[in-house]
Amino acid sequence: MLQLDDVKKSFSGRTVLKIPSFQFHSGIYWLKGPNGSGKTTLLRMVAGLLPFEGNIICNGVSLQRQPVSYRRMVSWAEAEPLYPLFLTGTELVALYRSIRKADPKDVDFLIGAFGVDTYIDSPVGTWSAGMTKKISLLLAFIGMPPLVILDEPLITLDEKALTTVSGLIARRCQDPEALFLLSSHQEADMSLLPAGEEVLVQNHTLSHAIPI
Amino acid sequence: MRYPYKLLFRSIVRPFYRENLSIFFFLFILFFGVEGEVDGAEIWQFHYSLVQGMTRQGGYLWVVLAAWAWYAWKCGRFVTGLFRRPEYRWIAIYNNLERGRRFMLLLLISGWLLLPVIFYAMIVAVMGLYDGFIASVLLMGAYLAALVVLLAGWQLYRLCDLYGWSPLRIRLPFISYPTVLLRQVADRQWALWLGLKLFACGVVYGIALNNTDSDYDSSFPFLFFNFGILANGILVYGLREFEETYLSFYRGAARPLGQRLAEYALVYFILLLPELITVVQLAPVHLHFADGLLFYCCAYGLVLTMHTVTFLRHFSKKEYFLLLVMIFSVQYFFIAGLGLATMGGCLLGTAILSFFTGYYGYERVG
Repeated sequence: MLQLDDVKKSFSGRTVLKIPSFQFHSGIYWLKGPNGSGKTTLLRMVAGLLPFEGNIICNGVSLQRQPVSYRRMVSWAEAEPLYPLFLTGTELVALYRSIRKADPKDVDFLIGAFGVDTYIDSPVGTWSAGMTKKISLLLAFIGMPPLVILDEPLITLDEKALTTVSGLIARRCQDPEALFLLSSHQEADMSLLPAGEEVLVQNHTLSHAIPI
Repeated sequence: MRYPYKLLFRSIVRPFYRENLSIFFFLFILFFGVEGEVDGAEIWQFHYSLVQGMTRQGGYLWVVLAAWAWYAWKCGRFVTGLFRRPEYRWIAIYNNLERGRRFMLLLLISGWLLLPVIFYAMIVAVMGLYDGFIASVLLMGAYLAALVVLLAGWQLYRLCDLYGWSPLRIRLPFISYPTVLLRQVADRQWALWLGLKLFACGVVYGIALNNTDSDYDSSFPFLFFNFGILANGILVYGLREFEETYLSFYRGAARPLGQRLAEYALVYFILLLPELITVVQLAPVHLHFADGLLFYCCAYGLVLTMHTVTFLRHFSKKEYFLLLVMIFSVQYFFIAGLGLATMGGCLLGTAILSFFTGYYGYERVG
């Protein structure tokens, strides 16, 4: 479970988010909202990438008070990922595997599932946006932490990759502790991904919407 | 031609000078600011003697020509780096222009990029002609024209092949965060790193070599050594920008703060190895062991501080540059009164404190 308490975020004095209290239970949540509503900011805060006021607690572990333990439970894939151009996919995977202490067999399974084995040995600088996106999603699944955050997972992916992501989410959701936070402002192709509860990000705060 | 040229100017020339402002300032201070007098001569006389050294076609001329080639090569690397950025993908539209037109545009851009060299060469040419060294002046002119054409040709080649790119392939048997940072230096900043090392180590070696048992002074070598270390701020800033752009995911990794600091400490220990070796080479005759140790501790503390203060808040390049000037000013008081031991301790303390207080609260602005 993810608990947000008195969470506030401002940029240059302008309040972007002000969430008195909100809970995400296990399962899949789709954050919805127009551009600039604060979806990515919220996800980056939950992922521990941005400072904020208040507290975010995952399974009883506070991001503010136990930053390392908290980060052990979270993984994150950016909407438009950027990696050092000279690194190969294999090296990125190895770096993530060492950080998350993941089982090599699980990593091999992910490489096969995403079908990235044809280019994983080449440098990031030679990849297309779609190829980079696939690797970023693969990296997010390494180590299978309880909380997986995927910012705009639909963009630049082909249908096959969407099916793979959908299958991996469904597989992971068999664990009752697993929580997925996904964001999207697209309606198209949503049918390819598993359904979840919609959470609206608007007026600087969060609110539940009808299930999709 | 007007708009295509204007756009290219704004996209290549302006970022180049913005990016390298600190290097130009460093060079300016190096040539005009550090010493008012060199061997008793006024500063302009010193430069006049440099120009004469060039035009008389001694070995010095070839050193200068090599330095110009290095500068042109750095310009070429900068443009290649720009073309590789996602936000520069639009530049492919220039490939719709005729090849000759593209080349002419890039020739103009090359001229702008090489402007500092061209400007300096013009001064040298005027003085050379005045002294009657026509052959040297013609050689320099032809060489510079060749550099401009080559640079334009290189840019055209990269423009035609925007996606064909092969990085420096360094294969290591393991991967870790420090190795990624070091590979960035090896891949993108090695020329800068080498220049900084040559300056800091070369100057301290050259000056300290005059020290003997009877005539010993450590403060003068330290002044130059410290200035060379401070110039590492350019490298540090580049590394931090690289981190924030390409390695932001690492902030979300489950790594204790102590380990993160240790990783940076390892990176800078490796990057400062030439300074350590130089100091060891000079000890004990030309630099006492205690002084050598203090030199290195101050250098290491300074570089770590220059890195960790960037976690306290986001600094624009200009702000960061001003911060370095401030650090240099504060150091002056230590050199003048409090001593190097106190300075080294304070720098290391500041580095650790800045890191632990700033790391989690940092966010990039803009």
